Amino acid sequence: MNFFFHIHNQEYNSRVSIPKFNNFSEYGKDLKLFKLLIKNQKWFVERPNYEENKEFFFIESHKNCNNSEGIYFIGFSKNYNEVDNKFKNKLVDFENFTNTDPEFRSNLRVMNKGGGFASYQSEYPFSMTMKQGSILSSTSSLANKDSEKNMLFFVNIFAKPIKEKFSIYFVNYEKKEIVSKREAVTNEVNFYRLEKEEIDKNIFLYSQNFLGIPVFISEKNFHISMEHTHPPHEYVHSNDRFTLINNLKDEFNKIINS
Amino acid sequence: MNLIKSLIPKYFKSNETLKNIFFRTLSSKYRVFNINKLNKSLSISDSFLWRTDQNFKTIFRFSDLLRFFYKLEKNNIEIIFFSKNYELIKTLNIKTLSLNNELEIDKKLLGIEDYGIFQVYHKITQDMPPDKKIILLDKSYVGFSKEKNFYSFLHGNIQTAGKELTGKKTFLNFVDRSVRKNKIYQIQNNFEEFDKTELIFTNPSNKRIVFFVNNKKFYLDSFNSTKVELQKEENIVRIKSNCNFLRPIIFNYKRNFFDVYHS
Repeated sequence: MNFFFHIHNQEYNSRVSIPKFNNFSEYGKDLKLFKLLIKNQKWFVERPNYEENKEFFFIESHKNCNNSEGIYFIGFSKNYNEVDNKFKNKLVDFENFTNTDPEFRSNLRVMNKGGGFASYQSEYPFSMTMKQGSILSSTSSLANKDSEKNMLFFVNIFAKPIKEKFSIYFVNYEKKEIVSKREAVTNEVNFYRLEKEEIDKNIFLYSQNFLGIPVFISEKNFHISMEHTHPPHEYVHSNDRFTLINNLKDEFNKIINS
Repeated sequence: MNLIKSLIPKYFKSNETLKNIFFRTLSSKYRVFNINKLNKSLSISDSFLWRTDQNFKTIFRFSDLLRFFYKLEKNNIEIIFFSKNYELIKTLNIKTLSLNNELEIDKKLLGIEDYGIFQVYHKITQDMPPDKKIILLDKSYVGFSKEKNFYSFLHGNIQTAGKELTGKKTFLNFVDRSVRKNKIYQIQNNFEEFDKTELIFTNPSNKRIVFFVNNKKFYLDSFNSTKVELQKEENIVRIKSNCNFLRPIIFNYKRNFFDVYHS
Protein backbone atom coordinates (compact mmCIF):
# COMPACT_ATOMS: atom_id res chain seq x y z
CA MET A 1 0.00 0.00 0.00
CA ASN A 2 1.23 3.48 -0.82
CA PHE A 3 0.34 6.90 0.51
CA PHE A 4 0.48 10.12 -1.48
CA PHE A 5 1.17 13.68 -0.40
CA HIS A 6 1.15 17.18 -1.80
CA ILE A 7 3.25 20.27 -1.33
CA HIS A 8 1.85 23.70 -0.64
CA ASN A 9 3.41 26.94 0.51
CA GLN A 10 3.42 30.60 -0.48
CA GLU A 11 5.72 29.98 -3.43
CA TYR A 12 4.43 26.76 -4.92
CA ASN A 13 1.13 25.16 -5.71
CA SER A 14 1.11 21.49 -6.37
CA ARG A 15 -1.00 19.07 -8.33
CA VAL A 16 -1.07 15.38 -7.44
CA SER A 17 -2.42 13.05 -10.12
CA ILE A 18 -3.26 9.68 -8.59
CA PRO A 19 -3.99 7.08 -11.26
CA LYS A 20 -6.97 4.75 -11.12
CA PHE A 21 -4.85 2.13 -12.92
CA ASN A 22 -1.71 0.31 -11.91
CA ASN A 23 1.39 0.24 -14.09
CA PHE A 24 0.32 -3.11 -15.60
CA SER A 25 -2.69 -1.27 -17.03
CA GLU A 26 -5.26 -2.87 -14.73
CA TYR A 27 -8.00 -0.39 -13.82
CA GLY A 28 -9.52 -0.41 -10.35
CA LYS A 29 -13.30 -0.22 -10.69
CA ASP A 30 -15.05 1.95 -8.07
CA LEU A 31 -11.82 3.15 -6.52
CA LYS A 32 -12.28 5.88 -3.92
CA LEU A 33 -9.88 8.53 -2.72
CA PHE A 34 -9.44 8.98 1.03
CA LYS A 35 -7.68 11.62 3.06
CA LEU A 36 -6.10 11.03 6.47
CA LEU A 37 -5.66 13.79 9.03
CA ILE A 38 -4.56 13.75 12.65
CA LYS A 39 -7.16 15.05 15.11
CA ASN A 40 -6.79 14.67 18.87
CA GLN A 41 -3.93 12.18 18.40
CA LYS A 42 -6.07 9.84 16.29
CA TRP A 43 -6.08 9.23 12.56
CA PHE A 44 -9.25 10.56 11.03
CA VAL A 45 -10.42 9.53 7.56
CA GLU A 46 -12.38 12.01 5.47
CA ARG A 47 -13.57 12.47 1.92
CA PRO A 48 -11.16 14.96 0.36
CA ASN A 49 -11.89 17.71 -2.10
CA TYR A 50 -10.65 16.58 -5.48
CA GLU A 51 -11.36 16.51 -9.17
CA GLU A 52 -11.35 13.39 -11.28
CA ASN A 53 -11.67 12.01 -14.74
CA LYS A 54 -11.87 8.42 -16.01
CA GLU A 55 -8.20 7.76 -15.27
CA PHE A 56 -7.07 9.99 -12.38
CA PHE A 57 -7.91 11.68 -9.10
CA PHE A 58 -6.47 15.22 -9.07
CA ILE A 59 -5.67 17.18 -5.93
CA GLU A 60 -4.74 20.80 -6.58
CA SER A 61 -3.29 22.35 -3.45
CA HIS A 62 -4.60 25.90 -4.07
CA LYS A 63 -8.09 24.71 -5.05
CA ASN A 64 -8.69 21.63 -2.96
CA CYS A 65 -6.93 22.12 0.36
CA ASN A 66 -4.97 25.39 0.67
CA ASN A 67 -2.45 23.85 3.05
CA SER A 68 -0.12 20.85 3.06
CA GLU A 69 -1.97 18.96 5.82
CA GLY A 70 -3.11 15.40 5.26
CA ILE A 71 -2.08 12.35 3.28
CA TYR A 72 -4.02 10.41 0.68
CA PHE A 73 -4.65 6.81 -0.29
CA ILE A 74 -6.99 4.94 -2.60
CA GLY A 75 -9.21 1.95 -1.81
CA PHE A 76 -12.36 0.16 -2.84
CA SER A 77 -14.55 0.67 0.22
CA LYS A 78 -17.66 2.82 -0.28
CA ASN A 79 -18.15 3.73 3.32
CA TYR A 80 -15.93 6.44 4.82
CA ASN A 81 -16.98 5.57 8.39
CA GLU A 82 -16.06 1.92 7.87
CA VAL A 83 -12.60 2.96 6.65
CA ASP A 84 -12.25 5.49 9.46
CA ASN A 85 -12.80 2.72 12.03
CA LYS A 86 -9.83 0.76 10.68
CA PHE A 87 -7.42 3.66 11.24
CA LYS A 88 -7.40 5.22 14.66
CA ASN A 89 -4.25 4.54 16.60
CA LYS A 90 -2.01 3.69 13.66
CA LEU A 91 -1.89 3.45 9.89
CA VAL A 92 -2.95 0.08 8.49
CA ASP A 93 -2.17 -1.75 5.28
CA PHE A 94 -5.65 -1.13 3.96
CA GLU A 95 -5.54 -2.27 0.34
CA ASN A 96 -3.21 -4.02 -2.08
CA PHE A 97 -4.11 -2.35 -5.40
CA THR A 98 -1.05 -0.13 -5.04
CA ASN A 99 1.28 -3.06 -4.17
CA THR A 100 3.04 -3.32 -7.50
CA ASP A 101 6.57 -3.88 -8.74
CA PRO A 102 7.68 -1.39 -10.13
CA GLU A 103 6.09 0.83 -7.51
CA PHE A 104 2.65 2.33 -7.91
CA ARG A 105 3.12 6.08 -8.24
CA SER A 106 1.28 9.34 -8.46
CA ASN A 107 2.68 12.36 -10.28
CA LEU A 108 3.53 15.23 -7.94
CA ARG A 109 4.01 18.50 -9.80
CA VAL A 110 4.88 21.89 -8.34
CA MET A 111 4.19 25.13 -10.16
CA ASN A 112 5.34 28.69 -9.52
CA LYS A 113 3.65 31.96 -10.40
CA GLY A 114 5.85 32.49 -13.48
CA GLY A 115 4.68 29.33 -15.26
CA GLY A 116 7.65 27.12 -14.30
CA PHE A 117 6.89 23.56 -13.28
CA ALA A 118 8.66 20.39 -12.16
CA SER A 119 7.50 16.94 -11.15
CA TYR A 120 8.44 13.45 -10.14
CA GLN A 121 6.62 10.14 -9.85
CA SER A 122 6.03 9.99 -6.10
CA GLU A 123 4.78 7.63 -3.42
CA TYR A 124 5.35 6.96 0.27
CA PRO A 125 5.33 3.19 0.91
CA PHE A 126 3.35 1.82 3.86
CA SER A 127 6.38 -0.23 4.99
CA MET A 128 8.34 3.00 5.50
CA THR A 129 5.67 4.40 7.84
CA MET A 130 6.26 1.49 10.24
CA LYS A 131 9.97 2.19 10.72
CA GLN A 132 12.07 4.66 12.62
CA GLY A 133 15.63 5.47 11.66
CA SER A 134 17.68 8.14 10.01
CA ILE A 135 18.10 9.44 6.49
CA LEU A 136 21.49 10.42 5.12
CA SER A 137 21.75 12.34 1.91
CA SER A 138 24.17 14.68 0.14
CA THR A 139 22.88 18.24 -0.37
CA SER A 140 25.00 19.16 -3.39
CA SER A 141 23.58 16.34 -5.54
CA LEU A 142 20.36 18.22 -6.14
CA ALA A 143 20.62 21.68 -4.57
CA ASN A 144 22.35 24.39 -6.59
CA LYS A 145 24.49 27.20 -5.23
CA ASP A 146 23.91 29.35 -8.32
CA SER A 147 20.12 29.19 -8.20
CA GLU A 148 17.94 31.93 -6.73
CA LYS A 149 16.12 29.60 -4.36
CA ASN A 150 16.94 26.21 -2.88
CA MET A 151 14.31 24.46 -0.85
CA LEU A 152 13.98 21.19 0.93
CA PHE A 153 10.69 19.46 1.57
CA PHE A 154 11.29 16.68 4.07
CA VAL A 155 8.23 14.45 3.99
CA ASN A 156 7.60 12.18 6.97
CA ILE A 157 4.66 9.83 7.33
CA PHE A 158 4.73 7.83 10.54
CA ALA A 159 2.25 5.10 11.49
CA LYS A 160 1.34 6.56 14.89
CA PRO A 161 -0.90 9.66 14.80
CA ILE A 162 1.61 11.87 16.52
CA LYS A 163 3.21 15.21 15.81
CA GLU A 164 6.63 14.65 17.36
CA LYS A 165 9.57 16.98 16.91
CA PHE A 166 12.87 15.68 15.56
CA SER A 167 16.02 17.23 14.18
CA ILE A 168 17.53 17.44 10.73
CA TYR A 169 21.23 18.27 10.74
CA PHE A 170 23.42 19.61 7.96
CA VAL A 171 26.84 18.11 8.60
CA ASN A 172 30.19 18.84 6.99
CA TYR A 173 31.50 15.28 6.79
CA GLU A 174 35.08 16.29 5.96
CA LYS A 175 35.39 18.81 8.80
CA LYS A 176 33.28 16.61 11.12
CA GLU A 177 31.13 19.52 12.22
CA ILE A 178 27.49 20.56 12.27
CA VAL A 179 26.74 23.37 9.82
CA SER A 180 23.13 23.89 10.90
CA LYS A 181 20.22 22.21 12.63
CA ARG A 182 16.56 22.39 11.58
CA GLU A 183 13.48 21.26 13.43
CA ALA A 184 11.08 18.81 11.80
CA VAL A 185 7.75 17.31 12.86
CA THR A 186 6.43 13.83 12.18
CA ASN A 187 3.48 13.42 9.80
CA GLU A 188 4.19 16.68 8.07
CA VAL A 189 5.71 17.99 4.86
CA ASN A 190 8.49 19.97 6.54
CA PHE A 191 9.66 22.91 4.47
CA TYR A 192 13.05 24.69 4.64
CA ARG A 193 14.75 27.32 2.57
CA LEU A 194 18.37 26.24 2.21
CA GLU A 195 21.20 28.69 2.77
CA LYS A 196 24.26 28.69 0.46
CA GLU A 197 26.50 27.42 3.26
CA GLU A 198 24.28 24.31 3.54
CA ILE A 199 25.05 23.36 -0.06
CA ASP A 200 28.51 21.90 -0.52
CA LYS A 201 30.11 18.71 -1.81
CA ASN A 202 31.04 17.72 1.75
CA ILE A 203 27.71 18.57 3.38
CA PHE A 204 25.15 15.88 4.13
CA LEU A 205 21.64 16.07 5.47
CA TYR A 206 21.06 13.72 8.41
CA SER A 207 17.68 13.17 10.06
CA GLN A 208 17.79 11.82 13.58
CA ASN A 209 15.23 9.22 14.76
CA PHE A 210 12.73 9.51 11.93
CA LEU A 211 12.78 8.55 8.27
CA GLY A 212 11.48 10.68 5.46
CA ILE A 213 11.82 11.57 1.80
CA PRO A 214 14.06 14.58 1.13
CA VAL A 215 12.68 16.43 -1.91
CA PHE A 216 14.92 19.22 -3.23
CA ILE A 217 13.56 22.13 -5.25
CA SER A 218 15.78 24.73 -6.92
CA GLU A 219 14.62 27.70 -8.97
CA LYS A 220 16.23 30.24 -11.30
CA ASN A 221 14.39 32.66 -13.62
CA PHE A 222 11.18 30.73 -12.84
CA HIS A 223 12.70 27.45 -14.13
CA ILE A 224 12.30 24.77 -11.45
CA SER A 225 14.01 21.49 -10.70
CA MET A 226 12.48 19.00 -8.26
CA GLU A 227 13.80 15.55 -7.39
CA HIS A 228 14.23 13.34 -4.35
CA THR A 229 17.47 11.75 -3.19
CA HIS A 230 18.07 8.05 -2.62
CA PRO A 231 18.95 6.59 0.79
CA PRO A 232 22.54 5.23 0.97
CA HIS A 233 21.53 1.54 0.95
CA GLU A 234 20.39 2.00 -2.67
CA TYR A 235 24.04 2.42 -3.70
CA VAL A 236 25.58 -0.62 -2.00
CA HIS A 237 24.42 -4.18 -2.61
CA SER A 238 27.18 -6.14 -0.91
CA ASN A 239 26.21 -8.58 1.85
CA ASP A 240 27.57 -6.22 4.48
CA ARG A 241 25.65 -3.20 3.25
CA PHE A 242 23.53 -2.66 6.36
CA THR A 243 26.60 -2.93 8.63
CA LEU A 244 28.42 -0.47 6.39
CA ILE A 245 25.58 2.01 6.44
CA ASN A 246 25.05 1.64 10.18
CA ASN A 247 28.75 2.39 10.68
CA LEU A 248 28.44 5.45 8.48
CA LYS A 249 25.40 6.64 10.42
CA ASP A 250 27.29 6.05 13.67
CA GLU A 251 29.95 8.46 12.39
CA PHE A 252 27.26 11.09 11.83
CA ASN A 253 25.74 10.41 15.26
CA LYS A 254 29.17 10.94 16.83
CA ILE A 255 29.57 14.29 15.04
CA ILE A 256 26.11 15.38 16.19
CA ASN A 257 26.60 14.26 19.77
CA SER A 258 30.14 15.56 20.21
CA MET B 1 -0.70 -15.09 -10.87
CA ASN B 2 -2.21 -18.30 -9.45
CA LEU B 3 -3.56 -19.09 -12.89
CA ILE B 4 -0.05 -18.76 -14.32
CA LYS B 5 1.33 -21.03 -11.58
CA SER B 6 -1.32 -23.66 -12.27
CA LEU B 7 -0.28 -23.70 -15.92
CA ILE B 8 3.28 -24.77 -15.11
CA PRO B 9 3.64 -28.40 -16.19
CA LYS B 10 4.67 -30.87 -13.45
CA TYR B 11 8.07 -31.70 -14.99
CA PHE B 12 8.88 -27.97 -15.11
CA LYS B 13 8.07 -27.63 -11.41
CA SER B 14 10.92 -29.93 -10.50
CA ASN B 15 13.45 -27.95 -12.53
CA GLU B 16 14.11 -24.43 -11.23
CA THR B 17 15.67 -23.10 -14.45
CA LEU B 18 12.89 -24.37 -16.70
CA LYS B 19 10.29 -23.17 -14.22
CA ASN B 20 11.81 -19.68 -14.19
CA ILE B 21 11.90 -19.51 -18.00
CA PHE B 22 8.29 -20.70 -18.21
CA PHE B 23 7.12 -18.25 -15.55
CA ARG B 24 9.02 -15.33 -17.06
CA THR B 25 7.58 -16.02 -20.48
CA LEU B 26 3.96 -16.13 -19.34
CA SER B 27 4.02 -13.41 -16.76
CA SER B 28 3.28 -9.91 -18.04
CA LYS B 29 5.10 -8.35 -15.09
CA TYR B 30 8.53 -6.79 -15.25
CA ARG B 31 11.43 -8.70 -13.73
CA VAL B 32 15.03 -7.60 -13.37
CA PHE B 33 18.13 -9.40 -12.28
CA ASN B 34 18.56 -9.53 -8.50
CA ILE B 35 21.99 -7.96 -8.02
CA ASN B 36 22.05 -8.97 -4.34
CA LYS B 37 22.69 -12.53 -5.57
CA LEU B 38 25.92 -11.66 -7.44
CA ASN B 39 28.98 -13.47 -6.19
CA LYS B 40 31.64 -11.10 -7.52
CA SER B 41 32.72 -7.53 -6.84
CA LEU B 42 31.21 -5.20 -9.40
CA SER B 43 30.47 -1.60 -10.13
CA ILE B 44 27.05 -1.42 -11.75
CA SER B 45 25.75 1.49 -13.77
CA ASP B 46 22.48 2.82 -15.06
CA SER B 47 22.34 3.75 -18.74
CA PHE B 48 22.31 7.47 -17.98
CA LEU B 49 20.92 9.72 -20.68
CA TRP B 50 22.90 12.63 -22.16
CA ARG B 51 21.50 15.27 -24.50
CA THR B 52 23.25 17.91 -26.56
CA ASP B 53 20.52 18.15 -29.25
CA GLN B 54 17.98 21.04 -29.41
CA ASN B 55 20.35 23.29 -27.42
CA PHE B 56 20.35 20.92 -24.46
CA LYS B 57 23.34 20.34 -22.26
CA THR B 58 23.67 17.79 -19.50
CA ILE B 59 25.25 17.84 -16.09
CA PHE B 60 26.22 14.71 -14.16
CA ARG B 61 26.59 14.76 -10.37
CA PHE B 62 28.24 11.71 -8.91
CA SER B 63 29.87 10.51 -5.69
CA ASP B 64 33.06 8.61 -5.00
CA LEU B 65 31.17 5.60 -3.61
CA LEU B 66 34.33 3.60 -2.78
CA ARG B 67 35.59 6.47 -0.65
CA PHE B 68 32.27 7.20 1.02
CA PHE B 69 31.27 3.64 1.90
CA TYR B 70 34.60 1.77 2.05
CA LYS B 71 37.05 4.56 3.02
CA LEU B 72 39.21 3.63 0.00
CA GLU B 73 41.31 6.44 -1.44
CA LYS B 74 42.76 7.17 -4.89
CA ASN B 75 39.82 5.64 -6.76
CA ASN B 76 39.08 6.26 -10.42
CA ILE B 77 35.78 6.68 -12.14
CA GLU B 78 35.40 5.68 -15.77
CA ILE B 79 32.62 7.36 -17.76
CA ILE B 80 31.93 5.86 -21.18
CA PHE B 81 29.80 7.84 -23.65
CA PHE B 82 27.85 6.14 -26.42
CA SER B 83 25.79 7.52 -29.29
CA LYS B 84 22.09 6.70 -29.60
CA ASN B 85 23.22 3.79 -31.81
CA TYR B 86 25.55 2.53 -29.05
CA GLU B 87 28.70 3.57 -30.87
CA LEU B 88 31.55 4.52 -28.56
CA ILE B 89 32.10 8.29 -28.52
CA LYS B 90 34.53 8.83 -25.70
CA THR B 91 35.88 7.39 -22.46
CA LEU B 92 36.84 9.63 -19.55
CA ASN B 93 38.98 8.43 -16.67
CA ILE B 94 38.51 10.75 -13.72
CA LYS B 95 41.34 10.34 -11.24
CA THR B 96 41.12 13.10 -8.67
CA LEU B 97 37.84 12.68 -6.91
CA SER B 98 36.03 14.63 -4.23
CA LEU B 99 33.26 12.98 -2.27
CA ASN B 100 30.73 14.59 -4.61
CA ASN B 101 31.65 15.62 -8.13
CA GLU B 102 30.19 17.27 -11.21
CA LEU B 103 30.76 16.92 -14.96
CA GLU B 104 29.27 19.14 -17.65
CA ILE B 105 28.42 17.26 -20.84
CA ASP B 106 27.99 19.47 -23.91
CA LYS B 107 28.70 19.32 -27.61
CA LYS B 108 32.23 20.61 -26.97
CA LEU B 109 32.97 17.57 -24.79
CA LEU B 110 31.33 15.01 -27.08
CA GLY B 111 31.76 16.69 -30.47
CA ILE B 112 28.17 15.83 -31.41
CA GLU B 113 24.69 17.39 -31.15
CA ASP B 114 22.49 14.42 -30.38
CA TYR B 115 21.53 12.17 -27.50
CA GLY B 116 22.71 8.80 -26.17
CA ILE B 117 23.77 7.07 -23.00
CA PHE B 118 26.76 6.97 -20.69
CA GLN B 119 27.83 4.31 -18.24
CA VAL B 120 29.72 4.97 -15.03
CA TYR B 121 32.13 2.53 -13.39
CA HIS B 122 33.97 2.89 -10.09
CA LYS B 123 37.51 1.49 -10.25
CA ILE B 124 39.75 0.49 -7.43
CA THR B 125 43.47 1.32 -7.83
CA GLN B 126 44.77 -0.57 -4.79
CA ASP B 127 44.53 -4.26 -3.92
CA MET B 128 40.99 -5.42 -3.19
CA PRO B 129 40.40 -5.80 0.55
CA PRO B 130 40.77 -9.57 1.22
CA ASP B 131 37.55 -11.61 1.57
CA LYS B 132 35.52 -8.60 0.60
CA LYS B 133 32.73 -8.58 -1.97
CA ILE B 134 31.85 -5.05 -3.06
CA ILE B 135 28.79 -4.38 -5.21
CA LEU B 136 28.12 -0.75 -6.01
CA LEU B 137 25.14 0.53 -7.92
CA ASP B 138 25.56 4.05 -9.25
CA LYS B 139 22.22 5.86 -9.24
CA SER B 140 23.64 9.37 -9.43
CA TYR B 141 21.88 12.48 -10.66
CA VAL B 142 21.64 13.91 -14.16
CA GLY B 143 20.43 17.44 -14.96
CA PHE B 144 19.31 18.84 -18.32
CA SER B 145 19.48 22.50 -19.32
CA LYS B 146 17.85 23.88 -22.47
CA GLU B 147 18.82 27.21 -24.08
CA LYS B 148 21.20 27.87 -21.16
CA ASN B 149 18.27 27.92 -18.74
CA PHE B 150 18.27 26.24 -15.35
CA TYR B 151 18.77 22.49 -15.02
CA SER B 152 16.01 19.97 -14.36
CA PHE B 153 17.38 16.95 -12.46
CA LEU B 154 16.52 13.28 -12.20
CA HIS B 155 18.15 10.35 -10.44
CA GLY B 156 19.60 7.15 -11.88
CA ASN B 157 17.14 4.33 -11.84
CA ILE B 158 18.13 0.81 -12.81
CA GLN B 159 21.13 -1.47 -13.20
CA THR B 160 21.95 -2.13 -16.86
CA ALA B 161 25.69 -2.79 -17.09
CA GLY B 162 28.50 -3.76 -14.74
CA LYS B 163 32.26 -3.90 -14.66
CA GLU B 164 34.71 -5.56 -12.31
CA LEU B 165 36.19 -3.05 -9.85
CA THR B 166 39.56 -3.72 -11.45
CA GLY B 167 38.02 -2.47 -14.71
CA LYS B 168 38.76 -5.69 -16.57
CA LYS B 169 35.54 -7.49 -17.45
CA THR B 170 32.17 -5.97 -18.45
CA PHE B 171 28.73 -7.51 -17.87
CA LEU B 172 25.72 -6.44 -19.94
CA ASN B 173 23.02 -8.92 -19.03
CA PHE B 174 21.22 -7.34 -16.08
CA VAL B 175 17.93 -6.91 -17.89
CA ASP B 176 16.54 -9.83 -19.83
CA ARG B 177 14.23 -10.16 -22.79
CA SER B 178 11.11 -12.30 -22.93
CA VAL B 179 10.02 -14.52 -25.80
CA ARG B 180 6.57 -12.92 -25.82
CA LYS B 181 5.78 -9.23 -26.30
CA ASN B 182 3.63 -9.18 -23.18
CA LYS B 183 5.42 -6.90 -20.72
CA ILE B 184 3.10 -3.98 -20.11
CA TYR B 185 3.99 -0.70 -18.47
CA GLN B 186 1.42 2.07 -18.35
CA ILE B 187 2.97 5.37 -17.29
CA GLN B 188 1.13 6.68 -14.24
CA ASN B 189 0.73 10.24 -15.46
CA ASN B 190 -1.39 12.05 -18.01
CA PHE B 191 0.03 14.27 -20.74
CA GLU B 192 -3.05 16.22 -21.70
CA GLU B 193 -1.94 19.74 -20.90
CA PHE B 194 1.58 19.86 -22.31
CA ASP B 195 2.60 21.54 -25.58
CA LYS B 196 4.92 18.64 -26.34
CA THR B 197 6.02 15.39 -24.68
CA GLU B 198 9.09 13.37 -25.64
CA LEU B 199 9.78 9.89 -24.32
CA ILE B 200 13.38 8.72 -24.59
CA PHE B 201 13.73 4.96 -24.52
CA THR B 202 16.96 3.04 -24.04
CA ASN B 203 17.08 -0.72 -24.56
CA PRO B 204 18.67 -1.89 -21.28
CA SER B 205 19.27 -5.44 -22.51
CA ASN B 206 21.99 -6.96 -24.65
CA LYS B 207 19.51 -8.17 -27.27
CA ARG B 208 17.28 -6.46 -29.84
CA ILE B 209 13.81 -5.66 -28.48
CA VAL B 210 10.46 -4.77 -29.95
CA PHE B 211 8.04 -2.43 -28.23
CA PHE B 212 4.78 -0.60 -28.81
CA VAL B 213 3.87 2.87 -27.60
CA ASN B 214 0.08 3.06 -27.75
CA ASN B 215 0.14 0.43 -30.53
CA LYS B 216 2.85 2.14 -32.62
CA LYS B 217 5.66 -0.37 -33.18
CA PHE B 218 9.39 0.24 -32.65
CA TYR B 219 12.53 -1.90 -32.77
CA LEU B 220 15.56 -1.04 -30.71
CA ASP B 221 18.97 -2.71 -30.74
CA SER B 222 20.93 -3.41 -27.57
CA PHE B 223 21.70 -0.22 -25.57
CA ASN B 224 20.38 1.93 -28.39
CA SER B 225 18.17 4.93 -27.60
CA THR B 226 15.26 6.46 -29.45
CA LYS B 227 13.07 9.49 -28.96
CA VAL B 228 9.31 9.14 -29.35
CA GLU B 229 7.18 12.29 -29.53
CA LEU B 230 3.61 11.87 -28.37
CA GLN B 231 0.78 12.95 -30.64
CA LYS B 232 -1.58 15.63 -29.29
CA GLU B 233 -4.37 13.13 -28.58
CA GLU B 234 -2.12 10.71 -26.63
CA ASN B 235 -2.91 11.60 -23.00
CA ILE B 236 -2.11 8.14 -21.68
CA VAL B 237 0.95 6.04 -22.56
CA ARG B 238 0.79 2.26 -22.59
CA ILE B 239 4.03 0.47 -23.43
CA LYS B 240 4.05 -3.17 -24.45
CA SER B 241 7.33 -4.96 -25.11
CA ASN B 242 9.39 -8.11 -24.87
CA CYS B 243 11.88 -6.38 -22.57
CA ASN B 244 11.83 -7.10 -18.87
CA PHE B 245 12.33 -3.48 -17.89
CA LEU B 246 11.54 -0.74 -20.37
CA ARG B 247 10.72 2.64 -18.89
CA PRO B 248 11.38 5.88 -20.75
CA ILE B 249 12.62 9.21 -19.47
CA ILE B 250 9.96 11.85 -19.98
CA PHE B 251 10.46 15.43 -21.20
CA ASN B 252 7.31 17.59 -20.85
CA TYR B 253 7.28 21.04 -22.49
CA LYS B 254 4.91 23.91 -21.81
CA ARG B 255 5.52 27.46 -23.10
CA ASN B 256 9.19 28.27 -22.34
CA PHE B 257 9.55 25.63 -19.64
CA PHE B 258 10.31 21.94 -19.59
CA ASP B 259 10.41 19.19 -16.98
CA VAL B 260 12.26 15.87 -17.01
CA TYR B 261 11.57 12.80 -14.86
CA HIS B 262 11.57 9.03 -14.77
CA SER B 263 8.40 7.31 -15.83
